[in-house]
Amino acid sequence: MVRVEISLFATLRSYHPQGRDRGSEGFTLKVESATTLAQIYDTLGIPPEEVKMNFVNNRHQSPDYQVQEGDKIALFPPIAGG
Amino acid sequence: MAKFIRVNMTDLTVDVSTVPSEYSKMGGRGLTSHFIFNEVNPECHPLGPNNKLIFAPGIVTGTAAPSSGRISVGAKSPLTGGIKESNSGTPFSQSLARLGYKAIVIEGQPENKKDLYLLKVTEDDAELIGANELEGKGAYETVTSLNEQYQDSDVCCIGPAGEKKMTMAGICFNDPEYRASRYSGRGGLGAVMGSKGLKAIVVEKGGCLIAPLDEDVFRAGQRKLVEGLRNHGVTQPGGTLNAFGTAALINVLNQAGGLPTRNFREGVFEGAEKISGEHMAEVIKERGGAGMTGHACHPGCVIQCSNVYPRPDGSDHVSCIEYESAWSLGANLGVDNLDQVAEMIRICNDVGIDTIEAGVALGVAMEAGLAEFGDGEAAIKLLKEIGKGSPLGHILGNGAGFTGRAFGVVRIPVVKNQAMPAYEPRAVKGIGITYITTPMGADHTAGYTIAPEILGVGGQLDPLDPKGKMEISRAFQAVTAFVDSCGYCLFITFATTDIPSATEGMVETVNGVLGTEYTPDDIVEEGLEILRLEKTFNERAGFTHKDDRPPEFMRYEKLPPHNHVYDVPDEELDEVWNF
Ligand code: SF4
Repeated sequence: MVRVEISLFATLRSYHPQGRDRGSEGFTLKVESATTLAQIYDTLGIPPEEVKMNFVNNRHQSPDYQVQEGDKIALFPPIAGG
Repeated sequence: MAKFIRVNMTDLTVDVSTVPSEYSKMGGRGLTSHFIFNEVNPECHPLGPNNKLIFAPGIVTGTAAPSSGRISVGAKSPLTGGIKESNSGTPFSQSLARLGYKAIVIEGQPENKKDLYLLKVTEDDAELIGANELEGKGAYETVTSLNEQYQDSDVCCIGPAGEKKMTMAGICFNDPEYRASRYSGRGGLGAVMGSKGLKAIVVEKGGCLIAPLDEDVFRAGQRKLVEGLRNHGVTQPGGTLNAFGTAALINVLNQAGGLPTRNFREGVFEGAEKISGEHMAEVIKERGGAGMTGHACHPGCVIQCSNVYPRPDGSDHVSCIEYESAWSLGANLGVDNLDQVAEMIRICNDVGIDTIEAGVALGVAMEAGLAEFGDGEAAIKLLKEIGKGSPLGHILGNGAGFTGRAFGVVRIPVVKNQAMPAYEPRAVKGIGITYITTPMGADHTAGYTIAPEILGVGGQLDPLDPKGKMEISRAFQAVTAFVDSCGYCLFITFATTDIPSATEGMVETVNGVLGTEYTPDDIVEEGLEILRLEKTFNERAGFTHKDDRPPEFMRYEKLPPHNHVYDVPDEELDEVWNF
């Protein structure tokens, strides 16, 4: 098992395991090693098409990235601005 | 035929005539930059009698095209010394276009430098009126009092900073509810307006929508564009721009390690969440009252990224908290209190200054030890000095570069003396190319490579890798020059970049209005032509390739957390102009 820290942003906050009100708080998840980001969406009940950007330790990663112990994961829907 | 207003501030005369034929098919930035190129001596003093200030609505502004109420303002910039176009979304632009005006040109300078004037524009005429009673008035009071005096009109004005000819002074326009909140902020155009003795322009509300030359082509294009905007995840109703505003980017850039923090020392800000769009939207919901997200800067915007931020008691504090301002007056100063950030934006809007230049100048001042990073109250005090016009206020009010020189600071994040916006070039290499090479001075909107580098719009590139970014920056700069000429908000490009039919729609609306036959392939060529003119103006003003360089500290200081320097080679930067 590995432990990862997850933060959800913008509209994805409604998928926070402790409910929307806790949306801004990060949480720890324990998963099998070699779990992918896509599997984490699944665990959290996030439809994959709602996730646009994954950052792991400040770097972009694709949904098939396999998480490692201590990864800091941030998930975002489509966002833009200026 | 469209009309053209020329205001001569030397002899105080106004001439309203038919638009010169060479400008008849232009609008927005294309028009302002051609005009400045043709009529302004590149070597003139930007605050002297030979500079000219031009206001031009976009090509489709005033029609039913979505999100198209932009106005471009152009002049030689007192901040950069080069050509400047700065645009804003406001009903003022729609009114001007609907009354049939292609542009307002302000030239000359009154003999008595103390006198202030107001330009009143109606459907058939324009006249100068003495306005000394507005001297020293903030933009809020100016817009409110002119709105009372000239009912059913839209307003443009400068604040005290413009009157004092500070180079961070912007030009303010009203929003639909007559807040003094929409700015052509960048490059010190408010100082140019002040140097002409022009305090304000009042334009009678334009009645009817402009009828396109070819209604069918226009309608078909409009439908495609609206559909694209409604179907794209970013621009759709209830999408992130609408629900959280542009400040939703705070957390994104922070996660990417590219949120400039404490005067560009770091790329991650520990207080990001508290100044983010998500937090702002929550505060707005909790406090209620005047607060709202999904606000439009002008009627007819379908994206509606603006907001009204309330005080704890629900009263209107400021509109709006956008990404750039939340960053410049927040993370860049180490400030994580959104109420303090809102207060600083309100001061900027009232004094009439660019929030980006103001925030970066304060960051440089903190670097110099004038206040501690993170001390929001001290930042508010410093900002107030600008409005007072104290000697310190004059130093700060002349921008980040001037402030840095005044206090012996080395870490000054400017290009062509204009402050960098909210994306760290060392963490996002392509946007650095845009900052460094655009004729405008450091400007993210000039070629927003953040879309593919960070946001996954129009592709997904590695932000830290400099390879291939030169071509992308150049192409984005060209497309932007075209979009800025149309009068469309740049944010439509999130949809047009991903959805080809939306791009077709944009081009067809232009064809419908002008009777032209542009294809989507022509956009880049049209944009490159505008860029060439702007670049040539700058060269004639004395710019060389040495002005297309990053601030030196970014070449040797590694930025955490990625610990990169700015590593796009000089030759690659010069290559942007090899077309
Ligand atoms: S998207 Fe935002 S900035 Fe653009 S026109 Fe609409 S409200 Fe104005």
